[in-house]
Amino acid sequence: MRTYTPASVHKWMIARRRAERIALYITIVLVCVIIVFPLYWLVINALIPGREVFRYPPAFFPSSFRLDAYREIIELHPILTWLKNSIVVSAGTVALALILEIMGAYALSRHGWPGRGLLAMGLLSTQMIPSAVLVIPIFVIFRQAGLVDSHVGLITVDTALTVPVGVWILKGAFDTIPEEIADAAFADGCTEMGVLIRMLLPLSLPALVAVAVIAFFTAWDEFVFASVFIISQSLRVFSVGISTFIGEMATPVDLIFAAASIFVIAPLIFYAIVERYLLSGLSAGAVKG
Amino acid sequence: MALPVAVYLLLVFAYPIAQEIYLSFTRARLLERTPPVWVGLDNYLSLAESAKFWLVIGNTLLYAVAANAIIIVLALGLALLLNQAFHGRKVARVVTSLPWAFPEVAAVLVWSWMYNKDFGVMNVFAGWVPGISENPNWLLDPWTAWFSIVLMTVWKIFPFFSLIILTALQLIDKELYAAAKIDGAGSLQLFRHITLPGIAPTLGIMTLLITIWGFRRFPIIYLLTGGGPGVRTATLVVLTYITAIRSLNIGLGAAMAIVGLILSLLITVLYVFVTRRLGQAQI
Amino acid sequence: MNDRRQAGVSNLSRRGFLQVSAAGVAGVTAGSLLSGCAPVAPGAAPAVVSSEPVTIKVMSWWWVEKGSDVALRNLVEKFEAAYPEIKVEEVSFPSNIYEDAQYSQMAAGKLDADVMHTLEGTGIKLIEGGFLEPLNDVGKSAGIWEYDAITKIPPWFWSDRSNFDESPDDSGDLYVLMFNTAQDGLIYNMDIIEQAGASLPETQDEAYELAKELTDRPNQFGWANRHTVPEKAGFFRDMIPWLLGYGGVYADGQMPTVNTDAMINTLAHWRRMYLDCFPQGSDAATFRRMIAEGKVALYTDNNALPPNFFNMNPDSENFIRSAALPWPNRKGASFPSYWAWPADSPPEKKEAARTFLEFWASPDNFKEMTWARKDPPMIPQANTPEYLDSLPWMSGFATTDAVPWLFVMGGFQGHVEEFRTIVVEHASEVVVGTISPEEGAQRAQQGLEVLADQLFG
Repeated sequence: MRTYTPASVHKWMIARRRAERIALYITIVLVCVIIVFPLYWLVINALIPGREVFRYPPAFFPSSFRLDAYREIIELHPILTWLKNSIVVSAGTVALALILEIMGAYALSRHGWPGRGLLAMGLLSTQMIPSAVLVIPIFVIFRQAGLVDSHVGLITVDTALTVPVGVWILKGAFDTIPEEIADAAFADGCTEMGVLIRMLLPLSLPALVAVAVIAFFTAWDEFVFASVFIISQSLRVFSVGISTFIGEMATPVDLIFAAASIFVIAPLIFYAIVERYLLSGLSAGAVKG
Repeated sequence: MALPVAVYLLLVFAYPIAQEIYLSFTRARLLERTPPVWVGLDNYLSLAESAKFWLVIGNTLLYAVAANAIIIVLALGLALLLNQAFHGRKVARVVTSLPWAFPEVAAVLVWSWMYNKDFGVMNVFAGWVPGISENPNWLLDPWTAWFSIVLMTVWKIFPFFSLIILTALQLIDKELYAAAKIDGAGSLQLFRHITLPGIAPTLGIMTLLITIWGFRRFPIIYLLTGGGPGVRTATLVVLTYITAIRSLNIGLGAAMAIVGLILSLLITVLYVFVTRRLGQAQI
Repeated sequence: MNDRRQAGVSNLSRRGFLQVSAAGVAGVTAGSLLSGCAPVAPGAAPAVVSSEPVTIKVMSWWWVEKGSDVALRNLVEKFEAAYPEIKVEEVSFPSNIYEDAQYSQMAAGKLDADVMHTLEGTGIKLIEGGFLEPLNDVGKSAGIWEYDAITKIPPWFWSDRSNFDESPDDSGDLYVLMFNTAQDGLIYNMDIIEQAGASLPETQDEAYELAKELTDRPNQFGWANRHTVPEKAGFFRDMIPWLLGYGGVYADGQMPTVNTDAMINTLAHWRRMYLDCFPQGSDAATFRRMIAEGKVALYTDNNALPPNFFNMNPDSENFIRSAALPWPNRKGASFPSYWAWPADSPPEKKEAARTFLEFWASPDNFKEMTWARKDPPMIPQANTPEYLDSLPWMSGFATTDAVPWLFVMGGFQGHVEEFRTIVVEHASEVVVGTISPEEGAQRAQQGLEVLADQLFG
């Protein structure tokens, strides 16, 4: 049996807190390492010479590198065109999606109109049909509407894919804003549009950023529609461009890996910039009793 | 205000969905000269009789449940971790979102390579597990193929989910925790009585969405195993694609798509029922 | 090695070919439309004189195919220099989604091209849908009408098969022009075989024994062919020469024949090769790099592959060689691709497209493309001793008794995609051993009979 003096208890608690901190950092580093490992592996395999690839066990820290793959994709392939097109399509999707989502979410959130439940369910049910099934019928319609082989057409589809989720998140955000705020504004003579623009949107700015990020990522990664709807090479987006490395005879894995590491940069920059808003934004949308 | 959204979605989705419903009652082949022939419930009946179809339905449920359960648990854990105050938190958040930002095509390539039976780095990790002496046949043995698919799915999806939970965590009133601590609540009790109720609505709607997305998640499985060997790792959407687009049997494929739609609707109804019961209804 | 001097694509005569494939598709007829879509009726196009350059869309996967892209672009540059009033616009989809893109365009009723590069199966679909214009005149005016490039085009691309004979003049309308072709052979690593002191296999059993002996995982693999579901098309395609080697075909007329001894033997052979010799689970992208790095001893594929290995690893030119297929009948497949001429492009574009095709098919340019791609010569001008001597790895492919691969499809030539989905579903189970070859063959046959019923009533 030992007796504890207040001093020893204090020391023990400090030691325990320190141990907890260390455990926390170790866990975080470990988690990050596990999550990043496949990407690390991808970059490594893009950079090591061909013969090294078929070594087992593989070297976790290869000794020789070559940058041929990066040089080749930048010099010989229209990477910059793909990047530009992807940014155009993603930005267009964000803009169009935001407009529709704001209107949809406002309608769902503010008015006790009949058919609200139907629209809510309808939004969800659009999420249930696989893209692969939608491609051909939508292609047939778009062909008639002259929307094939244009960024506008692709933006139209990408927006449709992301709007339902966005409406749900924004609706949640609007729901958290007390009715009284809007009522007071109406009393001051504001129109409905005025209330929406002056009151609801500023208060739910983080949620707007959140749905913008989701729209951006959706459009950035979309492949099924982009591969069929875009015909001209000059309009091709990155997600399809990267698959052009997959050849009939040979698939230069190093080129694909190198291109993928460039592909990932734009969404990451976008994400890093808006991360602050995104965090409170998504929650504002989703948390609502 | 609801009109533009409704009209927009109707324009894009109504015709394809209506066409799917119509085609599911016909015998129709893609790129064929003969128009679809009305066959009533034939397609649905032949699905009901097909052992392959039921195997695939089982696969779909197994995949949705297994992958989503792991995603939810891990995402919750990661969110709780990232909710702590520590140096480099912003970096950790961006880093953990990497899989979400990564293109699926390239992700599948690197994972297939990691799963290579002879050269894949996963063999090294498997070797650390006691009892595994031989390289697993990662993508060709049905059970390890499931494991491989679920692992990659979790890696790709859970960062997105965890970020959403994280945002919900941050909105919980910090004073609640302080008050409970004064009352002598342990960390497990804090989690059960404050954290969990605080994020429950988020967890609910996101679980619903992620389940629905699980039913239609396509590239990971299709590119990793193609649903094979046979159709042992095919989910409903993979079989639908193989049937309607690759085998050009759009009548039967449409019936499968409609079954998937009904399955998703059933789960949504279940969700609405449960959340109404718990008083958290959003629909 | 005299026979390699006449390394034509197919050793089968025109009439002989007709006899073996007698039960194929019904004669191709133009004008049959996809429901709901109506391509412009083929008609004489008035020549439009215009000072503005005409831009034609040329659709091909070669634009983005490493190695081939340079060959194609060089020729197009030459064309644009010779015809300044015509500009070529590249329309490309990578090979893995190329046919999907063609399907979508067909389903929508309009092709987005004035000249279209196509594979055989989709080519047949294009003709059945009434999307194509006959190319007889182009073949004649280009001056290749009497050569293999025309006479070896299989019967399903001609409108009149009743007179399909030694002369193409009696075969009615021709709906495609040969783009290029490749044919099967045994590709092997000369260094590995010589070091082992082994001789090249001549039967399936010898091939298995040798490959097994040469396998030392993961340092060296005796054999590598495609065997997974994600590579469904490749798996199905790789099985064709093996099936022909056992004397089988996938279908005889409208009757699937995948429960025959030939098919069961093929599956069993594939299974044992997988078990003891393959890099298991590796896809073509992976094992082809392994071949280029000298880690695989033997495998079957076509002559388009070796130049790709040399691209990946220049050293491999010293050890990659070809030989006769390791089965007594030496049967294998050829894999042609074609140019097609969409019927619904506007008249002035159609004329420009015809000019392009005539330019392409002229013997000089045809020879240039053959040599640039290192393809088997399809016209005598390309078949020079110097050319063949410069390709020491080419000789084995010429020994193959080759048939255009669609021949093995019997009456299912227009339904390859559906057919192979069913075959691979079951073959993939046989390979990993979850069912026996007999059972796999039986199940595939049942599935295909249901399909035949749907397709042919």
